[in-house]
Amino acid sequence: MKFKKNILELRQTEPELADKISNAGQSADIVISESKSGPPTLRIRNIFIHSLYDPLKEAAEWVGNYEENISRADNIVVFGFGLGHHINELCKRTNKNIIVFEPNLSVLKASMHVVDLTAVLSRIKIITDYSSPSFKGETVVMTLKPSINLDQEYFDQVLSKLKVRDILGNGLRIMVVGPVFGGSLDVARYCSSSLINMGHTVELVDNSRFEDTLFHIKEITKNIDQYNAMVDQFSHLLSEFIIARCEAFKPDIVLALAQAPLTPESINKIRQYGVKTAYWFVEDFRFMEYWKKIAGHFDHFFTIQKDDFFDELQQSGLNNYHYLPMAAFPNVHKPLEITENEKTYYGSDVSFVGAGYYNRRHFLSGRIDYDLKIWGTDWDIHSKLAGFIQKSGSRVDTDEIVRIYNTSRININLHSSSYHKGINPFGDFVNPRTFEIMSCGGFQLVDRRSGLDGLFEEGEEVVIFDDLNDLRQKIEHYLKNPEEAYRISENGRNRVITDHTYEKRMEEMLEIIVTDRFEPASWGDDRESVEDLVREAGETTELGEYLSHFADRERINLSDITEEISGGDGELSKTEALLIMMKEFTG
Amino acid sequence: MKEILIINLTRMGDLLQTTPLMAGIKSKYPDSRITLLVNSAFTEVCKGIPYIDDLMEFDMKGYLLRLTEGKHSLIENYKILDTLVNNINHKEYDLAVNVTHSRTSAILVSLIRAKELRGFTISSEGHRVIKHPWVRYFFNVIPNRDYNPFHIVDMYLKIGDVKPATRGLVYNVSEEDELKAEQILSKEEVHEKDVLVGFHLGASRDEKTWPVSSYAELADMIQEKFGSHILLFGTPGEADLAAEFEKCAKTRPVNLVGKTGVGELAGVLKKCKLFISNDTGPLHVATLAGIKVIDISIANVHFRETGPYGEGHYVIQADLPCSPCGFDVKCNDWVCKSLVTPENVFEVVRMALTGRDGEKDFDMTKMKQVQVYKSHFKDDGYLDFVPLMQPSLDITELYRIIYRPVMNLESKKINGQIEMLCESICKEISGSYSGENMSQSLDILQKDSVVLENFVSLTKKSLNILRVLVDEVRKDNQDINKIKELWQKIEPHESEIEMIGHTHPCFRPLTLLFMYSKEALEGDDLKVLAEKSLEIYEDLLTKSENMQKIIIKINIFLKRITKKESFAMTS
Repeated sequence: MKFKKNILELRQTEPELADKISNAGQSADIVISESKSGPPTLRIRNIFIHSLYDPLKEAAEWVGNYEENISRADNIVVFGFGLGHHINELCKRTNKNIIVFEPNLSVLKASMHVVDLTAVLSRIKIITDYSSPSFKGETVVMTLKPSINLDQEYFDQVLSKLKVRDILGNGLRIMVVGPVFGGSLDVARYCSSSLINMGHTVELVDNSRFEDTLFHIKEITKNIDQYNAMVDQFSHLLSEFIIARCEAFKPDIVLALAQAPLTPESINKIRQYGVKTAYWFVEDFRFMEYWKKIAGHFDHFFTIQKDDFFDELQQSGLNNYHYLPMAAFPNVHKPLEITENEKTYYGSDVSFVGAGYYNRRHFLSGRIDYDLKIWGTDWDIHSKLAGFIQKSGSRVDTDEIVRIYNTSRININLHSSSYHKGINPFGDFVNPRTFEIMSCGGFQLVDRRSGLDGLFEEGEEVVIFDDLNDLRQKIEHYLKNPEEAYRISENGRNRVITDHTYEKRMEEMLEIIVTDRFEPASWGDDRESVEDLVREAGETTELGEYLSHFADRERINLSDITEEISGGDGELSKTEALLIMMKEFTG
Repeated sequence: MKEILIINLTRMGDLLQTTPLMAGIKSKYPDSRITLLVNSAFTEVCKGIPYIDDLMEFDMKGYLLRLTEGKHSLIENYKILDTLVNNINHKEYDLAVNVTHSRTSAILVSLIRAKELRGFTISSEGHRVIKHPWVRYFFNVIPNRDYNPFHIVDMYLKIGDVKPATRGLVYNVSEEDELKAEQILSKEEVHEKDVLVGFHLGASRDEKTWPVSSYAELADMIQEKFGSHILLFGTPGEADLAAEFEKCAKTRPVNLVGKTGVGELAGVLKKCKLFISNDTGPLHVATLAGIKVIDISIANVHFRETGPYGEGHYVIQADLPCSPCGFDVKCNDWVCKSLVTPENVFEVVRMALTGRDGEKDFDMTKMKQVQVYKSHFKDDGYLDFVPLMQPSLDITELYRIIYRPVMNLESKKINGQIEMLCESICKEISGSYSGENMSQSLDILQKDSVVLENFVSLTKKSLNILRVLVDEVRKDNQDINKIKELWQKIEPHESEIEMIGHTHPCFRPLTLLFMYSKEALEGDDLKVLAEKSLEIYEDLLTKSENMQKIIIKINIFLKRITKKESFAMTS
């Protein structure tokens, strides 16, 4: 039986898909009948997928129409499987990489019953959902029209995703703008490194060099109005720097982090060039209200809170917002080999890393019967907690923090609040620390936040406490059960490095930006594909022949060409002379 | 039949300044056909130029826009140039002359099918090559401006190997233009009998623009004294200058800014008595309209090269050690602009409008810190500017006067000529310059003569070696080693010659010309190279020896005159 053979063949390469197809139901809409020439033809509802007369001839013609495209392309994508006639034909004509998108499992099942697909099933890849593979090189999309008509929405989406893949695959130019100081400074750096790792060309505008200057303004005047005016002017200047860098670097996308010194006017200027602008607001919107002034100026506004924040954003008339929670940077936040000395210095049964916010001070004062170390600034060294405060309450840098997470048996992660005594019952966003501790392989107890839902599995990957007593119980439990703690932290670590890295966030962000009517910015990158140029000039013309010498470069512009000519020896040909003349025109 | 192509892709003024060259060509080769390639922005100007048989245009601005906007593909843009070259090359030319000083045009001219190429061009390997000796001189000019006595128009004539004949620029104002001009004037309620004075307020660069307030003051003075109408001319982009003028001046001008194309401008100017402007294109239009002009020459304008080309025009310049300056000067305080006061210019206006030829009737002692010159065609047919205020003869000026015959004289057999030449030069000097500084200048000249003696002897030594070398090269069995040796012997002399040019700027015109000529030597043929080198050295010897003779004679004559103190005026 055809089906058995087909399924067996498919199972070799795609066992999951083979199962799905086997388990697919029959559909009354699908009608297979014999065509006039013999091979089976397919009708779904009232749409004929293949010819009633000669589906094989039709398949051959269909492939023939794409002949040129096929020879140029590196990858072939087919929309619509039908009964596979055209796939068979295609496989006969080319050895290239073929991917077929077909959402209808019943159709696949039906075709496997009536057509011998053994030649093709192990060769091609069939995708039935929205996953989009990434391709290298040029891709041609061949469509089986009737199939498209049946599942228009599906194919539209797939096509759009493929386009996104293509754009991302080619690499984008991204400018990351960080703040002058503050938490998102590190985030800017992590984003930048991640994007570079993903193959994009990145420029990080590091405004931390102006930290001294900005703080100096405080020393110049005590007059608040004057101070604000000066800071405002300073931001304007820094914005000008960023615009200038933009004009030189010519990015496709500008990503600004919270508190990046970019005035709304400068964002508008940048947008005029067709650059897509994104802002990652990694703050608590209730606490930092400046989002009101800037959110509307960016193409995309990313937040670490949803629900209430989304409501407010929508009320402001915006709809450019997306949820994008924080993450960890495994290159930095990672398990380390710890020396004995470090263990002594950094290690403890229970640790707390963070600034001494109101709620933390109160909360931890109930914790002093443990081997506790408190790290961070703004703790009251005259309080009961004095003995636990490390380094006299001075700043801990990232290096040290990573060591603390690596050496503590239990890390307490209590999200900050300026007016709750303990836990904020309405706490929504998840702080970076949550991810960082896990990324280091550390064990943590974190207070309940609505944002944790969907990010981690409670009890398996992360342990959550609801109040002081709960915490106490859990500390005792896990100090007594280190293997359980270890298991949970291992799960947590795996989850973080799989789903919650800055690279993952950047992928998601770019997906959103690029999907949304994206076009590379009009900076005038005038490089054209050598192949296209040669074709346009005419392969047999003097110019065409000359340009084909640049084939190894793929894309060139006039400057590339004239540089090559100037570097050469011997007499100038007419073509070379004309090209130099063109260049001289623009000086 | 001579097919001649002239490439002039520069501005309107430069285009008009090529007309005597074209006239010369037509005169020398009556059967010739002149094809002119111009920037399409100036096609209108060509309507009035009588010598053009074939006009080709290229839209430079449009092309640049295409290139910079990036909307068109590289191939499309390439094809435009290819088509241009093919169109030009639909015939083969006997001579192609590029008077455009740009690398773009240099490359273009190198692609032209012509038996002889002159002007700024590139070699087959893409290097700048300046083919004709006079073109080399032309490009020599800028480093040696102070010593250059020739106007650009005359340099074009020399490049074209034609004699000066027109004594001015050539342009035919059509009947239509005359009619339009009349209409324009009557619209502004200006009558035939009115005395009209034209002003052009703007200029291509800020530095050389006389302040509008000065023009306004001048206008008021002219109006008061002569009751004339002041006509303002300019491009539409200069409308704001006219507006400023109207604010400053008491007299109401006739504002024709942006209202006249070239032809109409010429038509209107013909009806004026006088035209006053900075160094601009319309200045040249005024000269060919046949009216007197006053050229206000400030900042880095070198009026001897770019001033009014015609008989009897005036130039006024500040009398400062820094004037005129170079293009690369960054000046913080254009003192020259303020020294050329409206009062000073008004004196020249009076001279021009009173119609008398004898400026000696005017008391120029009132005019302080400026110099006034009048244009005049000398016996050699080339233009000169005669100082009217008896300035002192400083050494630079003296060398400039000396270089004129040095560069003009082509051969050695002119001993008798030199005597006569020097005598007339010195008569002129005594008539136009004061005795102040004269002996100082002559002393310097004496000292320099010693260096020149050395220069001449080095040239002779090299020439002798070169002659032996050429003989050797002409042999059937050349001794390559001997040839190499000989070239090496010449080298140190050559370096010394060039060094003299560096240490003594007064001889730099000679050495630079020499160096450019050597640079232009192309090809691998040893015989050709050797023979051409010989020509270059012989030319250098001719010029330096002539210079020697001239200096000796001038020295003698001037000393005689100084002793007699028969100078027109000592200040």
